[in-house]
Amino acid sequence: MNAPENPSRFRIVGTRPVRPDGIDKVTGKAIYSPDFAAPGMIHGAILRSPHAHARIRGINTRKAEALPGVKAVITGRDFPTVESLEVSLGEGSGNILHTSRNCMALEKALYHGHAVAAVAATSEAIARAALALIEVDYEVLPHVITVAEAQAPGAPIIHDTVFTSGLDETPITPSNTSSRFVIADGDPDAALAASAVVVEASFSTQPVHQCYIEPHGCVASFNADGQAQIWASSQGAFMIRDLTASILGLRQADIRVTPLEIGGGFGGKTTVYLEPVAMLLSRKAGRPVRIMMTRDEVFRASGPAPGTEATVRIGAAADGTLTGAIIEFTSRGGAFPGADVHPSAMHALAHYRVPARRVTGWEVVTNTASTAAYRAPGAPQTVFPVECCMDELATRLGMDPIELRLKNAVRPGDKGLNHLPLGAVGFVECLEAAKAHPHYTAPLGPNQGRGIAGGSWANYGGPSTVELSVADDGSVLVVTGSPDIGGSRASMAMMAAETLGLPYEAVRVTIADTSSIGVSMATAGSRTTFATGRAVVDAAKEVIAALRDRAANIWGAAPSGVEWRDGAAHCLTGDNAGQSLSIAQIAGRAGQFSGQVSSVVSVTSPDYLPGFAVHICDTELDPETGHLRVVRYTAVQDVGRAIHPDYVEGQLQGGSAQGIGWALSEAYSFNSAGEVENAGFLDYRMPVCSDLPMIDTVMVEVPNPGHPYGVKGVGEVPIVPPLAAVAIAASHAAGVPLRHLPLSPDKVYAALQSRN
Amino acid sequence: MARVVLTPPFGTRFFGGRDHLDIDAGNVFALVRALDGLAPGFADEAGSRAAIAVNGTAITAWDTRLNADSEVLFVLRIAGG
Amino acid sequence: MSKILVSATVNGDAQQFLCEPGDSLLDALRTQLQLTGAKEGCGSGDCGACTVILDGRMVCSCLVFAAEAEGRIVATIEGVADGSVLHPVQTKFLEHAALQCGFCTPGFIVAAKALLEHNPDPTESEVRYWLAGNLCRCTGYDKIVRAVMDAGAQLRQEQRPASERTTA
Repeated sequence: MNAPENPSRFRIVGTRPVRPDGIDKVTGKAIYSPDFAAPGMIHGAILRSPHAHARIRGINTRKAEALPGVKAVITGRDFPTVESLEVSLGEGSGNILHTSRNCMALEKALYHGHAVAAVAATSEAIARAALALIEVDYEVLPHVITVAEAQAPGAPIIHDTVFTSGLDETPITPSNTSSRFVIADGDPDAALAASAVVVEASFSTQPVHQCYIEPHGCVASFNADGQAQIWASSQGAFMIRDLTASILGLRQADIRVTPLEIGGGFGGKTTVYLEPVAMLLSRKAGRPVRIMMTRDEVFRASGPAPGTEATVRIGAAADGTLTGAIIEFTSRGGAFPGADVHPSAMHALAHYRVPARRVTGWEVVTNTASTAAYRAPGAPQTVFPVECCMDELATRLGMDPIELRLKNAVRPGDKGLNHLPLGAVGFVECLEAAKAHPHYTAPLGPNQGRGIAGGSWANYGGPSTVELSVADDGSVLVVTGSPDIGGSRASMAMMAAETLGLPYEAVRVTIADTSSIGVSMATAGSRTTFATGRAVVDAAKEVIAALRDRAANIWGAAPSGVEWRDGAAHCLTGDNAGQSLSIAQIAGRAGQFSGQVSSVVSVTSPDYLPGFAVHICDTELDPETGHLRVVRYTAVQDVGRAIHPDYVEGQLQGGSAQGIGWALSEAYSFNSAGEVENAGFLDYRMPVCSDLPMIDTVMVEVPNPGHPYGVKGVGEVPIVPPLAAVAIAASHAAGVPLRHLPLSPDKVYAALQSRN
Repeated sequence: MARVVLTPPFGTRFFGGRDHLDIDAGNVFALVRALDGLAPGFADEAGSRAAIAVNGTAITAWDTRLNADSEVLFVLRIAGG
Repeated sequence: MSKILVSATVNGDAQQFLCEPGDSLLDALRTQLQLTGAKEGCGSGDCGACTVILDGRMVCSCLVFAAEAEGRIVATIEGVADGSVLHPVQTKFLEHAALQCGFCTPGFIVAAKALLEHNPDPTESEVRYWLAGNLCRCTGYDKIVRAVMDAGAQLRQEQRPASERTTA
């Protein structure tokens, strides 16, 4: 509530009504994945590898099967053979074979915690007891956890089917270096050689977990005729359906996935871990099967985002104009290829005009959990080093860091990361707003430093389907397939009500199962308010057209002589000029027409626009301990237009907090056996309430002309700038560059000692 | 002949590092068929991983018409988390 | 292994349930009494999503054995509202949009209500430290802290004699 209300251009868009699912969520009534129970349901549990890398020579399940109460046991051999296949899943792409093997190992266990077998039993306790009776014959193999280990000469090769892609010549020997991705433009070597100032430095970020508070969970039920149901919390019920169907060789129409409320995702719930396993158990047992991960399993076997090591060289002319940049980075991809190397490379410099550039990204596979998308996947890891270098450039040039960025900021018409001219983007407006914010010029206290950092995210469109219908009393139902992670039912109802001219409360939104509405891509890529919102508005417009036609029929007037305004048809011409019919009056006569007014709209919107942000961070350093604390934080972002400002601010605040955690406290610790040592919230330190200050937000509104209300995606951008904003602030407070995250007290203290 | 602009990794992986080609095609389907004929596997890759723009405008429908001076851009899709 | 019969007062009602010796109070609430508002985010007392009140004390119900509830008074999120009338903490969470996914929300509301009963006029720091055992990954805590402080203000207003109340 700390931003001004939207000017009253709209009745509803820009206001802050209570979300329609709110009461369920503050009273404990909402049904999340662990809360759903199917009649006759039994309980699954998963046996996980105790080794970071091991060949599975055999699995003996007889004792487990004999335990009273056990109804089914499966191993990787129960999974059908699937080809290595890149499939379009709406989330960019995915490799079905890898997804299947990540659900359950077959030939080899690739990380500590990799699933190797599963049991379903009449109780969770019996299922877990049965796991202990499964005998797995492992041949333990040497493992690699870090990039250096994975790339060392003679390192054990994780996949004999992975050859470095993206090289000029395809290699003939398999490698842990799974891909190279290069973006090149101009002659950056010459540009740097001719630059007045060049900053060069190396940086690192660690893999971090998405840390949604709800662990992964699902219930699957398979019937003998091949029809099946899944109840799961995820970012996309269609994603669950399509992946499960592909992995198990089932027909998509035979699997009905009901989306339960989702307890956070942040990208980490855009793939399957449990659903195919639960489905196979259900097929064997003939009963619905629930599997819930424990937090320990979540940390060991799901997520994380890749960590990245990067070296940046960036040059500028004496007036601060950027001349060229050379960036080389390596991302730690986990057990399977698919880390976010191309978005990392594409976003590194996407917010600046850089005439000559070469960005080279490498992906390396390791014996750690396979990476998953995490909010603006790939961008924070490369924007962090670039922004730190921009700060050093500003210092070297004696320029204000915002002025330096303004001088080089991308503007509408510049070539964007997709090689097309940028549309109505607002990075300059964000920089101006940051410069004008009182935070930017507020005095700092002792041991405090300030950092500012920018960044961007491409955003996405993708397919969405909406059904909008008018009940006989004139109230309106909107059905979508987009899971509501953070208030999208409210924004859908607001856009529908705004378009129809109705009160917010007259529109109710349902998130339907996959058999009840057409396809929508997952709630991911900051796409839902943009793409599903557009489908809502288009459907509302079709319904208005139908209602006008009906009113015209009732009046005997031409449809062109009927105007829709304030939720009613108004007759402009003829005998009935001046009369009006409310939506309820028209809808109530459905029987005199061809039934209810409704519209189903499917859209795939390519006209999304990237989002840009600028964050200001003040940190305070305890020089005795090296402990850093964020004492003031401001997030400025071009949001297009905020439909529900509270939930837009919430995205900015939540993304900032996640970025602060990445910068200061979050990292995995592995022991020499390759086992995660901190697989719990006590030792994996995400920010708690007492770690953070209030997070001020400034919503800059540069509307997207490609959306009826100007929406741009807002969810992902806010995690892009914080890593650098925090690190720059900390470096200024410490008087020494701090370039290796997380900035834990021991690391900062050591840097202070080396400075002295 | 429509001008095909290939960004990484499409050019490197399928066309020996070339960043553009000129192809005669009436729409994007025909263009991708032609490219797949030159470099088998391109159609699958384009279908699963490419975002496509025609004359500077992102498109999703492959039946978009092309003419002799059309420019068709293939770039890796970024969907996000 | 025979089950244990436990009698307890839950949200004001006399309740009996059967549990295994190793079951947590959270398990019993969720599976025996179908009170699924308290959530398991970690099972180790680190996330606070399972927060309930046991004999007036705030506890992580995942760290309490179900059998320990014998003869005691348990209050859960399901008992925070008075019938259909929401508690001010619940109302303020909605008004301030202090939830996104909502999974941690029941724990936060039970904890915040306990805070305001213990300290009706907390400072921002007191709110932050009281709630430091409740994890939220969505909100960055900003709107949660504001909602709790605003709920405190409303409760203080309600508790003053009518003649002293200011009209908002």
